[in-house]
Amino acid sequence: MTVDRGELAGTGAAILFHFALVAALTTTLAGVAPKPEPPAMEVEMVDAEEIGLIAAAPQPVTTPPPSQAPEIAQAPPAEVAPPPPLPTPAPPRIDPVPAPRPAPTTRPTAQPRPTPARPTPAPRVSRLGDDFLKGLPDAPSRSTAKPAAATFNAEARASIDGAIKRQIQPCADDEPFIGAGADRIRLTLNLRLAPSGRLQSLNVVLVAGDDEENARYVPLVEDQAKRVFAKCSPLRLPAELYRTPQGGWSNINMTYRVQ
Amino acid sequence: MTPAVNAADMMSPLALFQHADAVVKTVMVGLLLASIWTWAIIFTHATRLKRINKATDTFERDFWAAEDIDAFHAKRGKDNLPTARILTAGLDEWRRSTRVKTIDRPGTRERLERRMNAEVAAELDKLSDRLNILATVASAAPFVGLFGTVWGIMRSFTAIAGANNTSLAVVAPGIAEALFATAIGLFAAIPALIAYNRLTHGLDKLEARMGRFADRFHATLSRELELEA
Repeated sequence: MTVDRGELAGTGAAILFHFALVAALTTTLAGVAPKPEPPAMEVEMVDAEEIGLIAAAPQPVTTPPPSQAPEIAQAPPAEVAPPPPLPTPAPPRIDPVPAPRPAPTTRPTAQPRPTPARPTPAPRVSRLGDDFLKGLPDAPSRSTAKPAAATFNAEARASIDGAIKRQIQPCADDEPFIGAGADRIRLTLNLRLAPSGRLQSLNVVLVAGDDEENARYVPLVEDQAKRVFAKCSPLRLPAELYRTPQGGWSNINMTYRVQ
Repeated sequence: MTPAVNAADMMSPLALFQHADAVVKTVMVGLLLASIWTWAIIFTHATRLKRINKATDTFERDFWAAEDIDAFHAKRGKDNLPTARILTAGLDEWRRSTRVKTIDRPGTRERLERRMNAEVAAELDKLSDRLNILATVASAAPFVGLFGTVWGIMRSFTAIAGANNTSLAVVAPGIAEALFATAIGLFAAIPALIAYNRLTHGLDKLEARMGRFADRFHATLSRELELEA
């Protein structure tokens, strides 16, 4: 088989063509601008049913609030002089007595704002006597002087959950895709955290959302959750909520879901 | 580096080749060589056919316009053209057959025809050389590429089973590398198939043209034979 000049030229052209093609494909594909990543889906870490796992009951008050229940008294004579001005709590709303401010309902231990007493106009039509305030002690209630301690109520709980969720989100974003249907799996994790925020232990206490299709992904989701929390540990959380009488983030349950 | 840039880097032909299995690499190299060979044949035959057609136009026009065939042959008979070689073969046979005292006219006509037809066939053999390679690449390259892909996917699934991880990040690169073998196979086969059909058509036209020239020249010599005493 003889090779003439035309064949040599053709072979050279073919080799050059392939080199140029490979170089063009390499540079073109390497220079493709990355697509903007879609906004990350938020990992839902809080279930409504879990927000109130630890009851955040109000602190008990040792001194009972003064009784404001009026005692039925005889109607006073019309000429009786009005009582001297006295700081009194707001009485129940009864016309035509000027309406006091109702006590705030969200804080049972709060002391109603004292209002300056006003002379009761005469003639009275109320069936309440003037001594209906006699159960009120002169000294203000001691419970009002006590500063409010940090409470691990539902609001604080949601705040802690949100903070943990935000802090583990970058580590969760780095995790690879597990498989179709894995995002339906919800793990309830029990986290034991040191005061520094370092993860001491993580246990899976409940698995939900698994079915025949995605059951094989449950171990992978568990591994991913452990990796995510270990990678993003220590967590930065408010120290005053680490341990309170109502609970705290030293021992907290969270729901983990694959993004 | 963002995952998108990583994906772009991974789609680079060089990266796909580097990450592939040894068998797939062999398939890729073989297909790349087949593609280079294919394109070498395409370039060579396409330029040759174009040059021959253009030169044959001039040669035939000048030949049929020439008054003296011997003088024209002395001047242009050495041209690197199939038609010139057919002319030379015909004249050579004519001189051999008319050198004797008693000319066998039917025998001379038959020999002239056979000699020129043989020259046409020989020219066609030379021109169609290596076109069979195009046909072979066109039919075999996709299968070779498919073999590389099947092998690469088998390796990928084995790796997935070993890693105990079915995430797309583990599965996708191996499959992409394996599919690259089929892509190269198709890249080699598609031009080979198109070029084979196109070049075969061009050769068929040139064969018909050479046959027409041989027939007309045979007719010319046959008339000359009638004039010979």
